[in-house]
Amino acid sequence: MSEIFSIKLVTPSKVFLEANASLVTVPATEGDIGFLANHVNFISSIRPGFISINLESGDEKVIYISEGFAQFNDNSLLIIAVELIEKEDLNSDFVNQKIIDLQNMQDSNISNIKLQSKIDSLKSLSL
Amino acid sequence: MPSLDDLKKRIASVKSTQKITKAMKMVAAAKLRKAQEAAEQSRPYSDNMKNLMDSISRGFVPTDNSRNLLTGSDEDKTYLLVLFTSERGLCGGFNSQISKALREKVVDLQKENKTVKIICIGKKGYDIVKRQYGDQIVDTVDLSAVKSIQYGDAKKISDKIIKMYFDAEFDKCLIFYNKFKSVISQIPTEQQVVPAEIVENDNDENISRDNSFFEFEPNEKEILEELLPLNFAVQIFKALLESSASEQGSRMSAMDNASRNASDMIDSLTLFYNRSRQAVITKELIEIISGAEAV
Repeated sequence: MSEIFSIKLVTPSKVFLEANASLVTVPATEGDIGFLANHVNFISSIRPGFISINLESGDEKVIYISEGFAQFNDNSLLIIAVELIEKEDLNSDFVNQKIIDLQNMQDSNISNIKLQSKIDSLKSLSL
Repeated sequence: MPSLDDLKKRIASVKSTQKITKAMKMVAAAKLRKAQEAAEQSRPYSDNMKNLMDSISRGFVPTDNSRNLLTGSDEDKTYLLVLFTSERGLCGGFNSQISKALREKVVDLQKENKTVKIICIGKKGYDIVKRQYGDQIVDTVDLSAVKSIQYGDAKKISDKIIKMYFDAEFDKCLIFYNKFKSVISQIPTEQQVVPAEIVENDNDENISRDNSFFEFEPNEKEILEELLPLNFAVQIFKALLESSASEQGSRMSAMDNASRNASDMIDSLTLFYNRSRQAVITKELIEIISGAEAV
């Protein structure tokens, strides 16, 4: 039995999930990060992708995140997200729409590199 | 003296007005509950965001003097004021009190020779402000099609303002909205959002963890670059939610007063009607009696 720690996922409209987990993998901007209990205090930004959570009960949960931040502090992981969707509820139309939106933004925006990396990570999502 | 028929019509019209105000009160009460729930559910997000902001921005010193949302630009010339009002009227002093707060600020700023720009969110505020400061209004946002405020609405507004900021169209941004305290009291609030105001809270239980050490990935600067616009959007979102809860609360108490006034009016009109009716009867009786005596 591995050690557990508490996780909390919040979006602007509600607290999405509050639970205990043994392992959480987060798609951070510079590569996926796996959080186990007693991880060092850590703050990172998140790219579009899937968060996978091994819950205390042994179940695995996969949640789509559009963008956000992860903060690990005192054995609790906080994920602040703009949008969270359970993987089962996600379809490719939604992702394609997101890609189109970002591409439209690309024309008018200066920070293209960041947008491009977001588009890339969206495109690489396997549904 | 109005005829009995006229009085009857007046009573009927006041009664129907009362029906409308009563219905509006009920609707406002239901909407208020929803708005309050929405405001409550967004609270964990904004609280956590604030904590995160605190732990990152503490000790962060920008390396260059470029424009950023945390420390602001070096200049202090142009102010952008964002006014949050409602799309519909009949909500008591809701729109006028916040517009008044804005006007006072504009007068102050103009005395100090600052340039003022205004963005109106909500049609009612625009109607009030445009007479006096029509030239200063740079943009208006129409939310009349929005039934319940979503984060996306706030995002659109904040994107617009952030773009203006990096185009050097203003140096400081203040938002004006009604903070919801209770159904009978909404507090006009002025809040600075650009540069971000970090409120130090001494009796915060989190003070110990603020000093703790964090590892950042990517570095602090890049995280801040992403976090600050998000934080800004959250502030706007919060203001929108507070404002909509206040609007419903204000409307509810205004309509409650209106219904009560209407029932007072109905009472006095009914009394007057009964008296007039009695007078008419008495008059007719006198006429009959005096006619009979004359015969």
